Amino acid sequence: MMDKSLEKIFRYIDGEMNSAEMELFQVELKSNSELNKMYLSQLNIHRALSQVPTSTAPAHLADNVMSMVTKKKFSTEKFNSFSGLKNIAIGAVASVVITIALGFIFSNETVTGYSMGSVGRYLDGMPDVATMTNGLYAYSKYICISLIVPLLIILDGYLQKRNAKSYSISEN
Amino acid sequence: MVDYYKMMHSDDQLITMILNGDDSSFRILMEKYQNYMYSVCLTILKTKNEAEEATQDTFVKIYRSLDKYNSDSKFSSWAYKIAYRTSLDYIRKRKPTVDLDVVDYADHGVADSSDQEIQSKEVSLQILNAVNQLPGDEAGLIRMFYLEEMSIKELVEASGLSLSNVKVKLYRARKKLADVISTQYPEIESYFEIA
Repeated sequence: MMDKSLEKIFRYIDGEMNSAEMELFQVELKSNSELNKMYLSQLNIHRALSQVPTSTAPAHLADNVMSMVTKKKFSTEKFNSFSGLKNIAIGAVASVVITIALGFIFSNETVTGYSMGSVGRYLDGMPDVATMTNGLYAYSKYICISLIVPLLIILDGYLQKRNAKSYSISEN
Repeated sequence: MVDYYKMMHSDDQLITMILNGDDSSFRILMEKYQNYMYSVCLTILKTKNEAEEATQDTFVKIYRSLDKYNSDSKFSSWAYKIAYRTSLDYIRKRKPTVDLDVVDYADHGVADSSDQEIQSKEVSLQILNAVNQLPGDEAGLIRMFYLEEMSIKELVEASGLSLSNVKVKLYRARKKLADVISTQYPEIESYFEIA
């Protein structure tokens, strides 16, 4: 009995009754003091509930979420691209190719036509004694090699930093 | 620094900006809704630490799935849905032996207020403590229905339950709440003078 009354009261308060039901319920409210008492009590609860303020979230919550979201982006980007490893690998391959090419270009052998001998000497790591006579030419390939690798590493570092900056959160 | 210009944008405009890579708009959206989401999580979980974690998770989930948000529905309903389900997940994952440090709304403070304000705040505290005695899912529905003024239709969307299920659960929750109030806080039943 009480459940039925309560259900009616909720439907009335929520505005879920049609006009015929509402009229009937209003008549019932006037004639049934027990129902009227229950209705007033529910109306009070309804009003009190509607006035409860919202709880305040901790002040650092937004900062925490932003840092979590940003961190996730960084790691995803690095994991997906392997940009550092890829660039170093490309750099290594490029330096080997350039070194071989320089070996052909600057070796004394190029004067009389190059042969596999000049490449072989390069791979041994030392210039042929004969090419030493050519002074700067003989050493230029080693200078180039020693410069290319660190330059590529610096370039790679710069590109990664620039990439990371574009993902950082702007406060504005 | 808060961008007051962006604060004037609608939710949908902010979402478009976020999807175009403007993360500062997400902060604005979050600051707009964080208290509401935190309130729902706190009502369901009843502990501040868990509520804070659940709210953070909610916003991370919102951020990651913003591209799936359908602008035909209200953003707030969609966000509440994530908060409600995330909080229920936290309850499911709880270890049964965990001793909960249940929030005491009495520490919400009633100092420096007029008599009427104090009385009103006391009633609010009593209501919150009464809601706190309901099971998490029912307390969440009550919170969203009354405090966030969501319609039954919005509750269906937020809870992921069917219309009949929502109605039954909400009815049970309100009945339980009425029982708690009539036995523990009877003064609330006559707080407002109703002609």
